[in-house]
Amino acid sequence: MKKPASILTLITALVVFTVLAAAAVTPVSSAPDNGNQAAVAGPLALATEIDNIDVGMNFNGSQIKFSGQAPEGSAIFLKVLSPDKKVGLSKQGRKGPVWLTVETVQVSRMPGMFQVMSSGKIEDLPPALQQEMGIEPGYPALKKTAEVTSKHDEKTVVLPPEEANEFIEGLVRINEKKGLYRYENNAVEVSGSSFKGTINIPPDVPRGESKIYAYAVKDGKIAGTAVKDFKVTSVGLVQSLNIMAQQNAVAYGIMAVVVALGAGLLVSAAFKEINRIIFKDDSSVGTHH
Amino acid sequence: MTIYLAVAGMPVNVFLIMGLGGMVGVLSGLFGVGGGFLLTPLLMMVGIPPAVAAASDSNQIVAASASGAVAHKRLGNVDMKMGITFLVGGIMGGTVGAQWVKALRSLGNYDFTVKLIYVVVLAGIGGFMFFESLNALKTLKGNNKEPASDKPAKPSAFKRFMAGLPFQTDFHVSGIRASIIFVVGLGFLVGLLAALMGVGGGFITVPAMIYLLGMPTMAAVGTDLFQIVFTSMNVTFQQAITNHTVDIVLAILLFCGSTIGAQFGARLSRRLRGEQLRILLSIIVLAVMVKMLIGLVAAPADLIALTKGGGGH
Repeated sequence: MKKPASILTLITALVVFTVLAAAAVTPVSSAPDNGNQAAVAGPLALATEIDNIDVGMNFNGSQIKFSGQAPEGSAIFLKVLSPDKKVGLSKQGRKGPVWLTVETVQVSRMPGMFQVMSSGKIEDLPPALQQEMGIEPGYPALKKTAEVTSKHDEKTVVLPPEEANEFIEGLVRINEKKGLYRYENNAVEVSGSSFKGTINIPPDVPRGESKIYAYAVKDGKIAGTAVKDFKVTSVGLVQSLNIMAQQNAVAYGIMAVVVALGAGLLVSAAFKEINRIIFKDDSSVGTHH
Repeated sequence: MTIYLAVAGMPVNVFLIMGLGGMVGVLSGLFGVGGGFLLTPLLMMVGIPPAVAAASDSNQIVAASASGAVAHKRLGNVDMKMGITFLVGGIMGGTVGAQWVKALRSLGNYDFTVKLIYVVVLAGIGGFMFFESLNALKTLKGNNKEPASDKPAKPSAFKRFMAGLPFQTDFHVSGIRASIIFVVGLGFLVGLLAALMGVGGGFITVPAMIYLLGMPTMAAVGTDLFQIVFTSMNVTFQQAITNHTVDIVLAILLFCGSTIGAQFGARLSRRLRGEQLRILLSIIVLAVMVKMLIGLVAAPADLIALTKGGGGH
């Protein structure tokens, strides 16, 4: 969550770490992986209030406040992108009088989260510019790279676009409903040469490193770009339970059973006392055969 | 008040989950049914991924049935001998059933088969229980002088078949005499169905014990709870190691609700007659059947949905 006091320390640590890492491994290429553009250092600066989101027991989504500087008179566009996430989808179909699952597929190469925010209307931008930034409404950039596979007789088959499309559209709907995929016009506030806004991070946010791309558009072309990372990590009990459930399943299973059994017996003993005291209920005592 | 569930990967309202647990707990205490067939769909309705809902529900049932079984043991309703004999068959049936599920899955007809079995079994059990207990209530009102028999009449051919089976033994707590082979076989059948349908099977076990074995209603309820403790422990463990979908925090929340409900249900069950109890259970079973049937024939809101496997591995 928000830890303004520790941000300075964090930034310092990050800087030190980066310098050390750079010294150790000289060719550190940090080009953004979505290919559309190289992160040209332009006259655009982007800063976020936090660069780490902790998912703990009380996590219920979060917000990232951002601000920055851009040439005066530019429109600002923000793209929030999480790494690709593989998901399984099923399709319901009618067979006679009943509805049942007629197909199950895997969708890969679709980001877990994709949000676009703009200072004006995205639709007002020339399509070529939208495409250059990968922010065209309707997610065409994502749909193009998505891959839908289906398993037939132990063999994995990539579905042709005409069949894949309905699954991709379905996944987009699911992600939109969860707040993971969204377009938001007028969500970046610009005044003079500075801008600011808030990114809503839904509870379903994928773990790992996500990227915020910022673009300044002026006079019909991209005047500057900037990239900022933020990391989503499980902490505390959420983290330890996750790790245990995945990597130490036998111990986790035993723990689940023992805890439940213990809780059941404990509660039953407690209620015996409660019944005896409150309801003066002695019928349960001494009925052993 | 929300809490983030580590395994389910989502925040939930604590009171909503406890409320759901409480509702099902009343049923559990009342009828000895684990409530899995109700709770799992309810959890899915509030957005818990199906696989996590089913697995965590089993985990919750361990706690709920343990507490319920102890409460019934105090009331003298648990027939340990019957429970253990039944369990032997149940575990064998469950193991065979799990393999069957695997085979059906690879054929691709699993979904349909399961739902069809569900509807048919529920309709059969629910319908039979409903009319049987309705009749029992009617005759009870008709001639009040006759003492009410808790054991419904069985076809004599069936009785003769039962008596003809080898390894007859007395089950003192239930007050019946039955063949060990028959009890193990019945357990096997219930275990098979339970595995196919992905539930504990309480709503099959209780009627089977009442109608096929002729056990008193309360003994059937108590004994069923006793055997569910062990079957649900097994299911929870299997789910944890194969699917990693047991959310222990979710299970504890559900249990907090269900424990209160179960105590309430167990107390309530003592105030009701066997026939009344059976008619209530039959109505619930029929209601679930209707809900399943609607789910089968009604068009889904969105044809595309996340698979039961939940998120990535």
